[in-house]
Amino acid sequence: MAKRRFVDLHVKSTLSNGYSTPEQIAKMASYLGYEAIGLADFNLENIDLIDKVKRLFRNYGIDLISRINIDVDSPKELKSILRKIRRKVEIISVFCRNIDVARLAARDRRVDLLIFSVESWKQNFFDSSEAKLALNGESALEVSLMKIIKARSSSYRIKAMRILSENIRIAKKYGVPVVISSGASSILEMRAPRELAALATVFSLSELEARKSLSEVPMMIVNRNREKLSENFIMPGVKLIRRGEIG
Amino acid sequence: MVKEKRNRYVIFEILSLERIAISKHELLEAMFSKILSLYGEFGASNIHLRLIEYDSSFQRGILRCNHKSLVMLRAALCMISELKGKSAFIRIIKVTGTLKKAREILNSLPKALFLGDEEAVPVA
Repeated sequence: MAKRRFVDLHVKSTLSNGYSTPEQIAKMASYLGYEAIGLADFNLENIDLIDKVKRLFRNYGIDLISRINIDVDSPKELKSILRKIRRKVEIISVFCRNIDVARLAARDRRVDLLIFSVESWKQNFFDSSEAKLALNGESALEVSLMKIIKARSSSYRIKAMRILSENIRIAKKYGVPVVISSGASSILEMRAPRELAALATVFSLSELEARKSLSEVPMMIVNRNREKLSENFIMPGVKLIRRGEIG
Repeated sequence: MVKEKRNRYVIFEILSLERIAISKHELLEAMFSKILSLYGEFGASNIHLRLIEYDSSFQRGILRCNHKSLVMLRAALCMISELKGKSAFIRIIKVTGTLKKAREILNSLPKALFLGDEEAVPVA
């Protein structure tokens, strides 16, 4: 049986508001048994650093996945940012802070991951309509477990767990892919993939589903986007094999 | 005949930026507190958790649990984010079916802590 390739798609470093350097993240990721890490540090200002950070991660045997988190209040802003960055990064995630942004993000095929608030039911917009749109828009539901691990109180944790369980239940019902990530902003917030998968089983995922959510599911999204970003891509299922002149 | 109750031996290490002086009893208490918060007293009783040994110099040890409750134990250990007020987490190095094999693996590990001084950065 082929070895499972584990991916943590949501880690932050000192390139944004994280607490560990990219090198420390790469070293820890390699030690914990990851093969790929999604660094959510990039924005329009530091997008040129991607190649340099990719080389650094490669030294530790880690495949770096460039990612941008979009956190906006209006669909207009979201569309504008998507136009500017879609061809530049491998993963785009959107914090769905209001219903308009949530619906557009789920519908738009340029968005890969949807993140919902677990702090209150009023701010959680992942319902059956959202799930149907996400399924058609090929976006996945992201579950960052650091919000549970570092919950400030038991009551907060209980509510967050309840919301996450419900979101995962809806995602499973409609066939929306679920991606599990750590959401770590320092090396001490990172967790080994099997431990994260075990914690995800608390939210009505089987052990196998949880492990897939940390390996096959994120890699499928990344590979799909890498294919789209390659210069030979024409449209899904069609790519340029050889350039030449006719006649 | 397959034994109904089988044990799993979990070799683990504590990863932290500074050394954590913690006794076996305090470590087990920290683990039980997370197991209780996730699975309650009945769940905790089914795990059959026991801390077999703990080497404070390299922050590594061996836990024993029921083979059916290994996932529960992994999940509970994943929830630990600090020990004795210091940021830390527990990484499972290997799981074995016999204590002899677990001790062999523990003894074969490099005699050094993974996180050295160069990793000393502010923690969230």
